[in-house]
Amino acid sequence: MDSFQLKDKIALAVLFIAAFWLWTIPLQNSQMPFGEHDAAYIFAYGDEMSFRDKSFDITGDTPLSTLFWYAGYNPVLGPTGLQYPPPYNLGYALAQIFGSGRIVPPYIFVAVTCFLSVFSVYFLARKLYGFSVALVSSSALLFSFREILMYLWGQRHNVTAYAFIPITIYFLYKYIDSYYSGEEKIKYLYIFFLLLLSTFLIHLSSTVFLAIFSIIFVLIMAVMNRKLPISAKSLKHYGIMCIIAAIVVSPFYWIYFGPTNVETDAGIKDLGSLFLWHKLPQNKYDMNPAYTDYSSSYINYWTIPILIFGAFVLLWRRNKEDILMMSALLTLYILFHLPAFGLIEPGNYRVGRFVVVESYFFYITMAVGLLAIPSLLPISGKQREMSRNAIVVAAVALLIFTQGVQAYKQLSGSYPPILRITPAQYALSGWIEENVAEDSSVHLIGTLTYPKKAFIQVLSRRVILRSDEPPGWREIVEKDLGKFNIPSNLVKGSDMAISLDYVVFDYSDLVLIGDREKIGNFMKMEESMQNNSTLVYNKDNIRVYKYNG
Amino acid sequence: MDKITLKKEYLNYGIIALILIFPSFFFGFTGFTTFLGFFVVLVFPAYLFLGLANIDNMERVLLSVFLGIIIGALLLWYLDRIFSSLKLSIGISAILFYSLALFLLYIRKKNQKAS
Repeated sequence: MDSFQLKDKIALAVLFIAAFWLWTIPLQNSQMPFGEHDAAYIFAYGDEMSFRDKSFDITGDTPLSTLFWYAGYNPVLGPTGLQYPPPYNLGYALAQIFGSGRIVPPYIFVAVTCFLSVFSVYFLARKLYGFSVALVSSSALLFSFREILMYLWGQRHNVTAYAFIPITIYFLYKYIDSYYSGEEKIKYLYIFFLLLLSTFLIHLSSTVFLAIFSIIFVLIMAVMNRKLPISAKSLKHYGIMCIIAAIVVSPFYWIYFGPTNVETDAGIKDLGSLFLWHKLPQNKYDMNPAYTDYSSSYINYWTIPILIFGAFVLLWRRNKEDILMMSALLTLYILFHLPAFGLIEPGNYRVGRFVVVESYFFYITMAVGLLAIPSLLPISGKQREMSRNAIVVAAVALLIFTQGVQAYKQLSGSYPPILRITPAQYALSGWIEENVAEDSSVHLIGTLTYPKKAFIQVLSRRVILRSDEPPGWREIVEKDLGKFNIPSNLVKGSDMAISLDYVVFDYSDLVLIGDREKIGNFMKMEESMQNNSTLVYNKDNIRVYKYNG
Repeated sequence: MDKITLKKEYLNYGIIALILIFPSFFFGFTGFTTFLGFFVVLVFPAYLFLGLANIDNMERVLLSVFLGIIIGALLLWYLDRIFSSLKLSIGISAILFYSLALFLLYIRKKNQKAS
């Protein structure tokens, strides 16, 4: 029987409609870009590719606007090197081309690729545990507080890469299961391998999770079956995969392994933390504390017994499917405890992001636990079935009225107009692009937030100094980068430098919020410009001066 | 094709149409063409290729989305290294992907008939 039944198609269609409506609320409310600093940075890549009608080479092609952002981050590739492999960013460019728009189409792409985890989790849970568990766990993920936060902030490629995890581990499971059943199906290993490579092409953290998971899962299955899942007749396939990996990985290797900013100091640092599932660092990974808070993501603390019961069910049954789930949970445990062994510094945001992946497996574990309850009751088979259906309905309803309402408020209240580029600022970006030369830059003063300045910068396709300090800089300099590939018009000795010829006084936000003090301060700065500059733009409470000479 | 199979086919097409059209309720023609572009250039070719893998329908549908948007984009990037034009590469990739997928499916069908 085809496993893709009518109820699956309906469920997936309903989930898609709900997810698309919910996750695009910020875009429905306003068609101006939203997000923090990283959102603007990633947007710039795709935007530039569609603008030039050309995707990026590994070095030499990155947008001018982002050159000075992370100039010294990658000591191998330098300031013109890609910070991410191209495919995900290419999605932004393709969206702009297909949708014939600069903002809305890539943001549709972003929303859809971020909520892909709903379908990935549905797929994994459906295959392992059936329709009911799939429906409950994917409904929970539809309203995932942590994923929504990362989607809003701008770590979108990370969220997309994580969405691949459930579907990828499933295909490893399928291969291992086929091997130990005596009917090895190498196609599943190829599919797993392609999905693994896909995560490498989006964000390395997902590949790290999958690598650790694969080792754990394969070892456990090998111990259970007293044999490693390696066959001589598949050697040529392993060889083919190695060749494909080399071809795909090698062009992008230095993107990830050029920077060396993960500090390690191996040794036992915090033994006590090993007795906790996840000891949160004091800095909460430099993120909003709600991001790591249990009750924000799992309704409230009363769901902990359900989670524990679900974990107990997995441990008790120890079917292949349960081994897979436990391997995933063990992988998370290891990742959360890397600081305990000095393998990464405590509080490193890279560890903190894995709480998003925790949600996938916690939701499935809770659903398994909930739906195992009728099996414990002395009731008939039909009553058991009815009880399960009732639990599904109750769980989904509870999720909608708790996490769903929270998600709706989160999304509909995110990035109000004042926190996004206004039409006046969008027009300013266009003016800068048309009137400021590529070997010149702009000092932007007054725009309300740093991310808004970042979006003005990337939309203008020019280098912008985003400080609110008084004007006076005549160039922006990044020192000691001469050994890298820098555009010839920006090289100054061993430094990368660009002439700063324009100063923008953006009062538009300050007028809207009525901040007279700041307006007064900036107007004094503006007065100091009168003798040595010319007013070249004056519109909607935004004034641009060009230095004379 | 019997009635039930035909109804299933219509349901499948209906769901695909709904997914393609739904974004236009919020974002107009832009929403529709954005989805249509990804579907035609990346997702459906992946779906055709995955027909060679003999996997079940749910696996095939979901994999065509996940692999299509990334592996498809990677192949597009390689083509762009040759043609130095994204739009041209999109057109060539569509022709190449569809031709190759349909050819391989035809060969497989022919081999199946022969055996």
